[in-house]
Amino acid sequence: MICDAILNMPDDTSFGALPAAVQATIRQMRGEWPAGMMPGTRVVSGRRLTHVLIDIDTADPLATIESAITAHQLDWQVLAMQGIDASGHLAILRPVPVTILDYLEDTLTVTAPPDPLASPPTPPVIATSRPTQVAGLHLYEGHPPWAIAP
Amino acid sequence: MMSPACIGVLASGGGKATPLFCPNFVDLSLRAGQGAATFTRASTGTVFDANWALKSMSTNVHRLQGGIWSGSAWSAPGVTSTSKLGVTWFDQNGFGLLLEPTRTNYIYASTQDQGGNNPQNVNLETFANIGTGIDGGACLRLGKPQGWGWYSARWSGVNGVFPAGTPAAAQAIYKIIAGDNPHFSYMQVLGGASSSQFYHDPYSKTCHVTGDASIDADVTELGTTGFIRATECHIPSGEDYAYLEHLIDGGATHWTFNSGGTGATTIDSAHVQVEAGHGVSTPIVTGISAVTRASEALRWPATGNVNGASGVLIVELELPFLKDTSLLSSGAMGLVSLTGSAASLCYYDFAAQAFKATDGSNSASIAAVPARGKRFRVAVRWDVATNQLQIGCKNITDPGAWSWGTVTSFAGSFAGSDGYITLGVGIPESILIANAMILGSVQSTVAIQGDFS
Repeated sequence: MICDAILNMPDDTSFGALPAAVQATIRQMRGEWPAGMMPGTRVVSGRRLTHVLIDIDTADPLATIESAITAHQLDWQVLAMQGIDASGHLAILRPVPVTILDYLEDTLTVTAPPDPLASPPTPPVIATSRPTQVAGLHLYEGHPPWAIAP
Repeated sequence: MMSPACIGVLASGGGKATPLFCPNFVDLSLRAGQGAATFTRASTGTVFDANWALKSMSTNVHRLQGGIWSGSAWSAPGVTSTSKLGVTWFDQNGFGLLLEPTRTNYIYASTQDQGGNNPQNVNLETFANIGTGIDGGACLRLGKPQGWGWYSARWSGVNGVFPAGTPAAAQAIYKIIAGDNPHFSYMQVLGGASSSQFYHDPYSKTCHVTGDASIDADVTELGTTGFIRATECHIPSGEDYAYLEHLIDGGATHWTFNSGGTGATTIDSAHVQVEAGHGVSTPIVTGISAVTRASEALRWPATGNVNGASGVLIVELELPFLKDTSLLSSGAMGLVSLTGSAASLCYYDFAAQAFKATDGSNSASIAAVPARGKRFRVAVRWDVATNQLQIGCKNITDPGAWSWGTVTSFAGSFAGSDGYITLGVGIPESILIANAMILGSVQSTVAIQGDFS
């Protein structure tokens, strides 16, 4: 099953610096992820989110990855996980908790437009605020939207 | 005259290649367990069809330059290639299998058929989703201003997502519907350290960066549909692409697309994209979030192919260098991954103009500076004389001997049923595979069937 997982991990985690055994496990699961943190998120208290794709052919992929994390003594948590099962149905293994709000980037609102023809051009005036709803989470192309926990 | 490219296998001991992958033989997993290749991409992807409409390809379905996509399967292309990648640095009249790395489009609502708050018209009059985009859905039409002025639509979603120094690339696909003097259609990055822009000049069919009209980007006319694909790139060490540097390092927040100015114009904006990495990749359509296309790879089992006894993998590929010099300091380009009892990577070192192993062992160098779109042949083989794994390469047009280097970390250790030969792992930009085969016997010189020409 190809699964989407959001992992919570220390911000200074470098996959290239992980022990060889951990890298081998990631390779076996064909793990991949966008560079840096999950797009649209931010670092909170030294931790970041990473949106990984993994391919796990077990009955319980969530248990498999959590067992691997425990076995390798990694300070990671599986915040959310879902995948498409063999019959093509969405399997929600762990919905996205509302606590992910803390990690979402600020919402930007343009309060004054830019003027491209000014000399020099002036940028827009932008106000920031904290998001109040879990929305706009990063996706892999063609994958279903994240299930959000009530 | 085009000749079909094939990815094939040879039975152990040599003999005529049995095409495994070719526009005429499109099932990559026909002979699983017998040396057949398996293509993987854990997400959908896009390709242009014969009419330059953007189509979505399902998970694990490969994409061809050339060939005919029926909507469910590839079929033989015949004389005229049809499917297109729409990127100028690939041979638009050739055949090949596209392998792309993981890429993310950080621009939200890239085709603007999602409604919502993006883009926002910030100048003059309104815009509407009344155009027909490259994916067949509605796209944003920026109307023709009355008199002097412009329309400006803005996309958001690029806020500090790239670490400083990250290479980046941008593209826009749009169509000029009407214009009295349409030479002022441009894209602009706003926010961050300062504003900057590049714009498309429909008269000269070039793109320019503000302040330096000599800097051209790539402009691809998408067939006869009228859509234009304009692309640009930023390399951290380069000086030519400052506008994207602002986007990356200056905390730019918005991407704008303008119509009008000194030449009032009506345009359909079909797609915008900003991604991290060397060069643009195929379009990634976004909605209310950034979207990532998974990496693509082609994998063979090592057992029976390249192992402790014999075997050589040969790949003919096209590297879409954006600028001959801009990538020289960019470091490694992964290509061939070998996994098993040990693991390493064959990669292309732009600075050394050589294929190397990641353990820094001997490299196989090519003779000439790689030109943009250069085609290479690269091979991985087991040398029974030295009992070592070797990598080799040559220019595709070079009639001379192969250059070989030893992958020392694999000396006598590459074997086992868990071994795989994988193409595409670790590549930072898109490559086109025109031909690949596995020969069942060791050969110091290798012949290859089919090519780009």
